[in-house]
Amino acid sequence: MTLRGSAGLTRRTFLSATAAVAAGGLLGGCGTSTTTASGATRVRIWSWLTGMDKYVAAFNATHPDISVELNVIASGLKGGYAQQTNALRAHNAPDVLHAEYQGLPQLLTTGGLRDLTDDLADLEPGYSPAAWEGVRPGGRTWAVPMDLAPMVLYYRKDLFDKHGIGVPRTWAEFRTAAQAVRQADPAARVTTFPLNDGSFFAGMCWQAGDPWWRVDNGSWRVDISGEGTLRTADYWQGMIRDGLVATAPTGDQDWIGAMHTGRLWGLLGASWSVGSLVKSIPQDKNRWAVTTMPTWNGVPANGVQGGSAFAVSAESKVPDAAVKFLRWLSTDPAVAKLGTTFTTPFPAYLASRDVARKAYKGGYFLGAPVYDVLDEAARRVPGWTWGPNALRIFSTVVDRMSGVKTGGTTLAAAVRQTQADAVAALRERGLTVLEGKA
Amino acid sequence: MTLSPAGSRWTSRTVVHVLLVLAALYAVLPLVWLVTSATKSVGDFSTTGAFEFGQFNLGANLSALFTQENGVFLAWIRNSLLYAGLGAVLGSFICAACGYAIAKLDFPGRRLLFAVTLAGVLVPTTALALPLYLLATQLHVVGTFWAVFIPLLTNPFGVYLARVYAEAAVPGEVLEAARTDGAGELRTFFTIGLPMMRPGLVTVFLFQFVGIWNNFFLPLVMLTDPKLFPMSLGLYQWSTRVTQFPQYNPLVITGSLLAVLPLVVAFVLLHRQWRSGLAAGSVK
Amino acid sequence: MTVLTPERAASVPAPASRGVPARDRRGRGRAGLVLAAPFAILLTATVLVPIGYALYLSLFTDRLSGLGFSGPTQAFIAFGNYADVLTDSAFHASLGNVALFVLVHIPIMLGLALLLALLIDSAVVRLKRLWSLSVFLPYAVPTVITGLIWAYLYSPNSGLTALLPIDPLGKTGILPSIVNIATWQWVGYNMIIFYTALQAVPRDVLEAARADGAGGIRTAWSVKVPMIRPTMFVALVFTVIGSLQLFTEPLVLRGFTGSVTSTWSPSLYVYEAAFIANDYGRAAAASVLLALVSALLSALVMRLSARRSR
Repeated sequence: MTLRGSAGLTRRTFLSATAAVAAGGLLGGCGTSTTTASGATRVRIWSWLTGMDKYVAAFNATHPDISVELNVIASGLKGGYAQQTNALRAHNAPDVLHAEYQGLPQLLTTGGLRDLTDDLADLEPGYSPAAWEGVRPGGRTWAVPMDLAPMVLYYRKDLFDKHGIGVPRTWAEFRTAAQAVRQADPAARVTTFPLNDGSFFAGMCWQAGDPWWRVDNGSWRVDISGEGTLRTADYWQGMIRDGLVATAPTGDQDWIGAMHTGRLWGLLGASWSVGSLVKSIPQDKNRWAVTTMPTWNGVPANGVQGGSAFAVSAESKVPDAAVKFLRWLSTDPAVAKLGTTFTTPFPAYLASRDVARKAYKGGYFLGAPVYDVLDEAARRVPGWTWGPNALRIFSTVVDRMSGVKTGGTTLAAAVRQTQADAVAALRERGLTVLEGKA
Repeated sequence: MTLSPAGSRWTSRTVVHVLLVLAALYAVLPLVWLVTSATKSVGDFSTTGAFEFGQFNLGANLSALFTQENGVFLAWIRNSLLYAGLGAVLGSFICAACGYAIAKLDFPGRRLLFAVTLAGVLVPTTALALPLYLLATQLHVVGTFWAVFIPLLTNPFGVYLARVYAEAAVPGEVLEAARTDGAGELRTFFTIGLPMMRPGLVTVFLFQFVGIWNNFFLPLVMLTDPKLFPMSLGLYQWSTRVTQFPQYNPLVITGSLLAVLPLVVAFVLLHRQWRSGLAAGSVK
Repeated sequence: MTVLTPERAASVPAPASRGVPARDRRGRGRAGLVLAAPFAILLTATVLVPIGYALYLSLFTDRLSGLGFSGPTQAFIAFGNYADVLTDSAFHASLGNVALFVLVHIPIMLGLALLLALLIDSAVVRLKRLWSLSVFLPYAVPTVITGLIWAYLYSPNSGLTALLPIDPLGKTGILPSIVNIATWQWVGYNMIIFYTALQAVPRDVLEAARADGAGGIRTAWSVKVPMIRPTMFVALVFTVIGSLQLFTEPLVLRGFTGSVTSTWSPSLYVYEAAFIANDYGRAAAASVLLALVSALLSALVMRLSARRSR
């Protein structure tokens, strides 16, 4: 066209490119029809869950009347929530959306989710209570729980044993252990406290028993700088100040390098950390053990970091098929079984969790079976409510904490600022907000 | 350093070359790192030095890259080529037509269009992304090929360049002659104007190609379906997972290498064309 | 196609359908409209309408009620969003970051580009093409990938960090790190622009300077540089506009360090407001302000350039 000298070539390229576009189905936009060519009901889902493609394939193979179409989107805060929220507001959301427990209330503020209370009422007794509570902000059921991610402590049992360091049961003991680790190897630390991860920090505070949000007479009560949170902040401030923990992110190159070379002897992680450990340091087999989190003054409590659930769009034209798929996804033993072939799932549905436990091969960790520890951790999870701005608070708190490493600010100052930010942000959106503990 | 004895001349020549070698190393070493890193396994990547070779793992990385998520990377390559290739062909043609019209044809609104075009050069694209997104939402084209393709066709700077080329390369007398011969204005443009502007248009094409190839913000906000992603967005999405899943590191790095190669090769091969086009456009 | 002289053209009898100047002009006008229309439509649809829409949106906000679960309703608040943005310390911080970025990046990058262009243009250099192409190559690397490469290089185990006095991903190191990424990417491009401009400097002017006894450095500084000043101003305007849009580099680095806040640059601020906080009104107001600042700065630079070249 433009390049007349090579017009033939250009035109041919142009035509074949156009054909490729058409063939690639790029011109069609999103499928608006609710049935496929073969007459099955079409259910569209967006998710970033690892292995969702395999679950969907398994479902489609066994349910010819429904055809689930998966779009893998960027994970939560990396863009997944943004896409879903925007799509809900733009009235072009898929039938099923991915909602971690902490992200569900924000998705709800679009007003675009289907109330699933009646669809799921019969399933309540089957779920881990922490998960069930997580899908019921405001007392109605808004999503189907998939898995739960209770936090646990992973530690290098070989090194702890070699240097006579006991497994810490309380945070005071954890500090002693941290000192012992540093004494045994000046280059090593007991763990890293990732200052770039708001959901991690929230998980740590969860354990302390002062929820950041509560529903109080139909409006929000925000308490991010409550006693439990400040206690947590002060404790970790001391650990950072005294050089007892690293502050770098978990899972990045530096972290993997440090894990490889034995410079990190522990990991404050969640159920999904099993996969990270096995995949990033496979040669550390039979060196690590799992235990429940250290506690405050011996009171058993455990935070949660992550865990997925799935919601249905209020505008879905095929809600029944969507719910059918989600009930299968959440409770069918086949899903848990399939999950164990490529990850270490920790289902929210207790019967499925047993399936996963039985199918789990093990062989990586020393000591107590990983599923037993995770079960115990899940039982210890205290009540907690996520607010409609939880996701934003994760980035706010990270921004506020960014000066902690250099001593420019403290964790306690950061949480106080975050409280103010959170209250202001909710009020700006027209909501009535109460502050502090009720 | 005046006209000087041989000794000082030699020194200045050495100094100049040392500076140039340093600049070239600065530019090229990160790319060398990309090559060495693309050959490493997940473990070697974390444990070997930046410019060392580990065990040669490029083959395994490439096969992992092309099999990940059912070979979605192949779709990203195709999409990048479509967005950038088709977009730059069509875009530079549109620029050529408009630039030629502004330079050579007196039509109503010509001055206004040129003024708005110049202003359009100055509008930051990041400021346009949000309203474009919301407009695309209302037209129900969010998440489709077109939501990314059409906005990226608009290239005000290309029109400016095309106008410069039209003025410089298409003599008025030639057009007069064509008119006298009875050729219609449109025909004259296609048969005379366009071929004469061709060397400059190669530059418009190349730079629009790079602009679209590198564009990130628009696909980021417009697209949800990985099958429609261009390479840069796809690789970015994978890179956000490396913290949790280190096995994505070799995918991101090997994929980056493949995304960089075609442009580097194109610029090296076509360097005579774009250099001359740039000269004509920028000196003005 | 031969070039016809006016006489000959006049001697050819004009067909009835043409030759009438007014009609001729109308024909050209029509052809001009046809040729300009595709771009004019694109410009309207993808630049003008969005700007208008952003202006409109910036006057509204979403209000929630109760727990917020029943969804938002839209409310007109006039310039409330502008007031919010202008009093938001996060927006101030983002402007501060970009201002600092501009002040550090532009002199270093354009200065280096000019220096390299002059070096390559100097008589003593061999392998000119090799130098100019290798320094230019980073321009061909997509910004996302540029960001990724440097993010990996800045990571503690790359070996590079051991050579640096500060942590490139730390609180104080992050700005220089981003400056470095942008400089790496753009220095070659601008060098080529300057170099092509330098090649257009008439050789007899240079000969004359040399004959007057001016050395290489003196010729470069007092003859070559003034002659390419217009080009330098164009490059300056584009670099300023590009710098204000700073987005991809900090976004990519954000995945590797907490030192880059979610609102580190104005473009990130817009992105955060729109797509994370879902506050379209505030995002639109910030977009409008960003466009305004950009327009003012470019106008300022062009004004400056007009005065200098007079």
